[in-house]
Amino acid sequence: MDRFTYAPVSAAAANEFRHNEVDISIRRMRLLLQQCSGGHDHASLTVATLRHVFLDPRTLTGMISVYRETFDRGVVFRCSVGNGDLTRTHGSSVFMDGARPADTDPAPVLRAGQLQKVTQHPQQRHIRVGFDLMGPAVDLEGVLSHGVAIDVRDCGKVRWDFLGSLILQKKSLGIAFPYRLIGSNAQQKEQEAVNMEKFFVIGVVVALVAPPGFGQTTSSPKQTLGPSAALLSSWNEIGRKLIAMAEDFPEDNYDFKPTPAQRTFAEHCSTSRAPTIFIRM
Amino acid sequence: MDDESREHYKTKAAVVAYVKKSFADGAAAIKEKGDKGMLEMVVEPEGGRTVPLQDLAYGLIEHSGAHYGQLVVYYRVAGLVPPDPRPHK
Repeated sequence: MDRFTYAPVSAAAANEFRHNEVDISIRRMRLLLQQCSGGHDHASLTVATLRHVFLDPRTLTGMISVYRETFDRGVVFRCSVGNGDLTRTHGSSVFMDGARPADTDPAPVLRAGQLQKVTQHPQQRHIRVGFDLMGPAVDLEGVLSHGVAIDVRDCGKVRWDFLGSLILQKKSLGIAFPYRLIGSNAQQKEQEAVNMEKFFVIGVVVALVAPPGFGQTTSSPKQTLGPSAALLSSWNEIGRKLIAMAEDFPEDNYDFKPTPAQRTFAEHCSTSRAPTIFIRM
Repeated sequence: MDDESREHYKTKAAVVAYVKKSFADGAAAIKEKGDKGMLEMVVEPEGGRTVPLQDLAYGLIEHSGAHYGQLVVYYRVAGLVPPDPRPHK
């Protein structure tokens, strides 16, 4: 079994090393890659292979390499058993089930470019990650570890925030989930996990109490006026004000003017030549 | 110029009717010109520049606004409150 599964995984590691990026780790074995370009699917292939032999690769926790590399990256022994801690470029392998290839090279499954491709063409189902409350399908540096997974078909918006997090929005929930792609240490990941938990709880509450359509962009057509209609609106508005004044001002004061050099109130009204000029155009 | 002499509009009713008719005629002209007419090039009566008709029209609206502002001052100086700022019942 090792020989068969080992060979492609080694190739995956080599590919990933050339790609020189580590972005997303696979936590569970529910990642099905279809039509996926690049060499990012080897880890899942490994998982698929293992599943045919064992129930779950996680059951290999504690397996020690004797003649070959171990495939397991169990959570029991985080930093030592089976070289599980060498799974990624940095960080531990606690949540790296299925991600580690045979060698100690990084074994990302998705990288930035690939994510973009997936999200731009979700209908092609490059990745199908089920929404599984029993366990997350994808764990990005351990952030998504609260039973929430993104189905690509359910990705409404995907964007990067300025901190380098990938923001995926589930259309069904109307919630955007931040995915931290690159973690630095366990403490950071733990903090991220806590933050994510809080965020998720808030999101669930919002999803439950929000009215239908909440979180969705409503594209109501804007009422735009044409040039003449817009002009007419302004024209009528200033006309309304002047007419209101002419009607309101006491007739006894129509010849009132603050200083002798100024026009009277009535002259101002009668010298508002704007209408007459325009009419003659 | 086109200034209408006070002698032609001796009463308040005459002044009010003049102002109303002026803006009503202007509104009718705008509708008649339509969107296409707004882009017609016209020569400013006073400035002499050739501008799109809508530019001239907005200039005239601004001019009317200047008159409106002065009349607001007249109201205040006379101890009155202009119609617009009054609290609406």
